[in-house]
Amino acid sequence: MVSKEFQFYVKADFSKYKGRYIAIVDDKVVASGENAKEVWEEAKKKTGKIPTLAKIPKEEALILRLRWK
Amino acid sequence: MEIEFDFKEEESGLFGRILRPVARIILVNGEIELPEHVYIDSGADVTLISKSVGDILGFKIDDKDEVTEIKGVGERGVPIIVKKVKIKVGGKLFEARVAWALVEEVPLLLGRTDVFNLFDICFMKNEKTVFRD
Repeated sequence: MVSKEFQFYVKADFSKYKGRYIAIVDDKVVASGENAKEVWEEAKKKTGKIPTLAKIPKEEALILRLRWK
Repeated sequence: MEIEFDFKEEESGLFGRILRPVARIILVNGEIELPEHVYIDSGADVTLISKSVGDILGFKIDDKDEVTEIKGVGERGVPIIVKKVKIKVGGKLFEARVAWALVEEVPLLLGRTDVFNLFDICFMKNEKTVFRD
């Protein structure tokens, strides 16, 4: 079952948060910033809930290929 | 177990609106549970998290940790330490190695190592990703 929060994440426009972390609770961005730990702690403090973290890409096109030696 | 995740529509300067495969996973380290949205990347050897995401999980650089490099497109490497965590996808919890980047400038990725061996992962025509174990 897909949560309300995931539906919000896939549908919302987060372009104003490019290159930043966001913390989502239900259907709201409750904190954002450049450090995931600070964002997550702030969101927990504000809401009393466990937020879901995301990082919004700033790249024009994501071409992701990681080679691990 | 089967779980589906819709693709996420995002803006690309080159291609306009573009659909990208994403998932909600939970990283578990001891008592800490961190839900995060990640890009599903079949081209990534390993799941990748940034420095400050590792800080949330309580990761420390130990004497026995080996700092190594991973590379993406191009030659610029990213310093990482391989750590073990538990990952929850849907109702399935499993142990996996992740690459903890020692920098912030990386995306959050779900890669193949210790993950793609556990699920059939099907990308359904720009619509959704299905995980089936």
